[in-house]
Amino acid sequence: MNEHVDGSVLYTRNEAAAEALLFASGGVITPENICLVLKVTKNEALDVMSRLSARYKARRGGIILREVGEGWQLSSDPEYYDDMAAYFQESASGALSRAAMETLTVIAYNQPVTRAGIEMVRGVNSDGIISKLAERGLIEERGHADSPGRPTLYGTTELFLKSIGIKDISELPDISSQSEAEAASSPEQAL
Amino acid sequence: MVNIKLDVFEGPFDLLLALLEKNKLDVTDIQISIIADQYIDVLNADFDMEIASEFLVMASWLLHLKSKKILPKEEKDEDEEITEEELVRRLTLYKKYRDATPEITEKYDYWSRSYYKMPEALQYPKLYQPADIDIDDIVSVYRDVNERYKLRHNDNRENMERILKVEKVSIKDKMKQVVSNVLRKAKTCFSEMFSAAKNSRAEIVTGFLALLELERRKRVRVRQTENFGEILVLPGEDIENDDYGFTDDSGLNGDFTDE
Repeated sequence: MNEHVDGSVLYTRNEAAAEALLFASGGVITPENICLVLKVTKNEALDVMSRLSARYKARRGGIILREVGEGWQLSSDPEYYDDMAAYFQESASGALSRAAMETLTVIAYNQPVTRAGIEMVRGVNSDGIISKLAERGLIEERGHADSPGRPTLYGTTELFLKSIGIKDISELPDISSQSEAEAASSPEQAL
Repeated sequence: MVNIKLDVFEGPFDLLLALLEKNKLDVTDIQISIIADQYIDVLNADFDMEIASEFLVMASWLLHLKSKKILPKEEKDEDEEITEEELVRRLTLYKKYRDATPEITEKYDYWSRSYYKMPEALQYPKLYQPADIDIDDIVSVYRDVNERYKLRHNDNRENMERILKVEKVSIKDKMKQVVSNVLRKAKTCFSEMFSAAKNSRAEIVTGFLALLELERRKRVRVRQTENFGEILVLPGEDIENDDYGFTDDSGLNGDFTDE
């Protein structure tokens, strides 16, 4: 995705059409959508999007092209959030409490997970926080576990991925061996 | 005495980890007697009836573990669920996610400052192809609909007459009518013989039944090229047969009235 594109070179017809589609849709555009519109193969579609992504990175404008799941979406650059705050009354999202972020982290790494599973990890009842996270669209129900009572399973949403700037959950920071590593270096955290 | 405010902690594990860190103890090397005392101290110093019950459950868990250390070794404890190993396991698990939270939070605080457009309410992907119709089809359908509308709503005088004069329509009569029409013209169509403009609904229905009966008896042949299209009526091989009677099991003896 880091293909070099000379900003002074004009867009190809396909790059321009793909950009028009991204704008017109507003939503996430998948490689299949690009294939349909440009009448190209999937590899050609990926190639077009790779060049378009490179152009967006190179031009450093206020609109950025982000990878979301299998597709792409246009959004405003977070760098200019404060500039726009003068214009908008409400924030794009609003900060979450530490408890909410912790719960979100537990769900992100363990999805799909039940309420009981979340509570087991955190050591406290998290029902209220889970409802709030679902309300904000950061997590969603993912069917039911096969255990007794068939409890609801929760997982993170596309909005969650966008909200932490990753394209899928495989891009979550690696924590598999963190506990041992941290135990060795023994950081002294102030209380 | 440990001076810690309880409400900054997310739960008992969070508080325990803080105490361990303050005492420079590793998660795998909990000094139960020290930690249990400090934990109870924090709860006592900042006690509140609103406190989450989980903090109290942990306090009893810690006291239980501490008492087991002090008291001489008993035979196997029945309450195997509450062991130091289990506490270490749970603390280690919690620590993993507690420590991952700041990085996720940092990412969230940055990337959630991005605005998206709401997806347009466009119909996509395109799911249908336009039907294969031309302007003539539209005109003919329009005429048809218009005709039926007029008949249904504008012709009240005739309707009244029809209602006042209860008519009696028999299949036999209609069969005779169809046959005479076919004999006269050799080729005719259903709408010429029966139409909403000239006939009552009962007459049209009976006429249609008569037509089916004649077809069954091979006195006429019926052709229709498309659904709802014109029904052509042609002479059949037995057109000259003069028998209009019904056998008992035909079920078509009755007369249809338009009351």
